[in-house]
Amino acid sequence: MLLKTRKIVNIYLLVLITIVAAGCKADNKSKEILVTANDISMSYYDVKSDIQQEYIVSVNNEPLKKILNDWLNTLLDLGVNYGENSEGINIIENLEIKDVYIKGETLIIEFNKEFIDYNNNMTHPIYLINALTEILTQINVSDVYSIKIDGYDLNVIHPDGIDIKDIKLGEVEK
Amino acid sequence: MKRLVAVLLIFNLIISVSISDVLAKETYNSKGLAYCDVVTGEEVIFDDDSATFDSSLNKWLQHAHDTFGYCSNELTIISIKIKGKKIILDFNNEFNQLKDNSIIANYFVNSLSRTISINSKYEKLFIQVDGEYVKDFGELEFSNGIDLTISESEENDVEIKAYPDVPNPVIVIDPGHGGIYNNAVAADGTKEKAVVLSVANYLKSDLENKGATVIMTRTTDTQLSSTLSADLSMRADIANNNNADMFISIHANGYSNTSTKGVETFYPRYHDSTTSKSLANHISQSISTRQSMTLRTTKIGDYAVLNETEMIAVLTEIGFMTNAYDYSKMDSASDRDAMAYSIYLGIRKFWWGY
Repeated sequence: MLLKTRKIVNIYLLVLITIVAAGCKADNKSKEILVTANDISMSYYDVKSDIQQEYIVSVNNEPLKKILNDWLNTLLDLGVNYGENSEGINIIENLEIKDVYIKGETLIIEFNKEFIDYNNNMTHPIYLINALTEILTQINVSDVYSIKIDGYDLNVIHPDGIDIKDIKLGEVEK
Repeated sequence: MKRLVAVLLIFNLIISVSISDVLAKETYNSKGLAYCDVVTGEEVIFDDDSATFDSSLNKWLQHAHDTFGYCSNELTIISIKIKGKKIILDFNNEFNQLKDNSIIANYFVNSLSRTISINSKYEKLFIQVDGEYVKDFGELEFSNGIDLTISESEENDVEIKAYPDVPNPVIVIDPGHGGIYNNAVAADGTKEKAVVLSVANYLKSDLENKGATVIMTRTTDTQLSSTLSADLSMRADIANNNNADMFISIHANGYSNTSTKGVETFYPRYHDSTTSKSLANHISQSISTRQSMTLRTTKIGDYAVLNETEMIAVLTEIGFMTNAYDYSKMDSASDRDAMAYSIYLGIRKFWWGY
C-alpha cells in the first residue's frame, strides 16, 4: 500500500516538477541546472532499524547542486550513517557534491573525494545511491546519471560492487 | 409489568446475542494457523474454522503441543488483552519451560506471531507470564514487543511464480568476493568470503539434488580478476554465457553498529525486476522464518552483478556477521548447511511452487 501511494506521489511530483536546465548541452559545466518545482519527495533508510522515512522538500528555482547538498546536510542532521571513514567519522559528515552538470546525455553528479571512503569494508552506500536515484528520477533532467569523483576511474564503489556509472532513471523495468 | 420487562429483556438478549454472533461470523474469518515444522523447518498452515480470533489462538496452542510438540499440554493462555494495536497474551508459568530449548522457543514465538499477523491487524505482541511481562527470553528479545506487521516486501509479494515446464533449471551461484576481495569480518576474524563460499557449496548440493544444473562462479578462495569491475563482470558473464535461469549471489553483511541485524535481499532495477523481487522475497522470508532472523525489506540494488546479468537475479545478504546473534546462524558447518537449506527452500518455493 505504501509503495502504491508513493508511486502515485511520484507520478504527481513528476507532473509538478519542471526543470529549467539552463543550457543542457554536451559538456556544459559552466551553467547551473535550476529546478523550478513545488515538492520533491526524499526518503532514507535507517540501517539499524531498516525503517524507511520520507520527507518532502519544497524548492523554488533552486540549483540542483544546492538541493542535493542540502539533502546530504539533512541526512547528517538526522543522524543517518551509511558507514565511517578510516578515522571512524560518518562519511556523510564531509561528503559534498562539488558539481552537477550534463555531459552528453548523462547527468553527472560530482562528489568530493570523501565518497571514495564508501570503498571501506562494511559501509552501505547502496542506501545513499538508491535515495539519490529516487531524487533524480523525480527531477527528469536526464534518463541516466553517473557519479564522478575526481581521480577515481572505477565504475563501481564498495567491495560488493555497486554501479556508479550510467545509472538509469525513470521507470523501473517490470 | 414485570413480566413485560422480563420478556423485553430476554428479547433484547436474544437479539443482541444473535447480532453479535452474526457480527462475529461476518467480521472474523480465520486465514489459518501457522507453524514451523521442527523437522523440515518449513511453514505449515492448518485450516481453521474458528468463529473468533480467541478461539483460533487456543486452537493454535492445542496444535502447538499435540501436533508439533513445541510445549507441554499444561501451557495455557490465561488471558488475551488488547491495547490499541497491541495484543498481550498472558500465559501460565509453563511458558518458562520453553527456555530450555531456544530453537523450539523460536519456533513457538515465530509461529504464534505469524498466526496473529495473518489473522489480525495487531502490530505488536507482548507476552506475559502470570501477569508479568516477559522482557527477554534466552536469545529472544521481547522488551519492545514482537513486531507483527507484515513487511512491505511481503505485502507486495506477487503470486508464487512456478516454472513447472522447466523442472531442471540452470542456476548460477555466486559466492561473493574471494581471493583479494572481501567485505564483512566477524568478531572472531572470520571473513565473509569464506562463510558465503561454504553456504554456496551446501546450496549447490541441495539444488542439484532437486535436479537443477548448478554452476558456481568460484569454488575456491580466489578472485576472478585483479580488477574489481572485471571480476564482477566475469561473474555475470558466467551466468549469461550459460543461459542461466537464475543467478543467486550470496553475501553477508557487516556494520559498525553491532546490534544491526537481519537478512536482506536485493533485486535488479532494469531487468526481470518483478520476478526477481518475488524470488528475493521467498529467499529472505525462508531464511527469516527458518533461522529465526530479522526480516529486512527487499530492495532494488544497482549491484554490477545484478545489472549485468540477463536473467532472474538476486543478491542476498544472509545476515550481519558483526551481530553476535546473526553470526551464530553462520559460524559453524551445520549452521551454514541450515542457512543454505533455507535459501534452497526459498528458491524451491519460487521456482517449483512449493
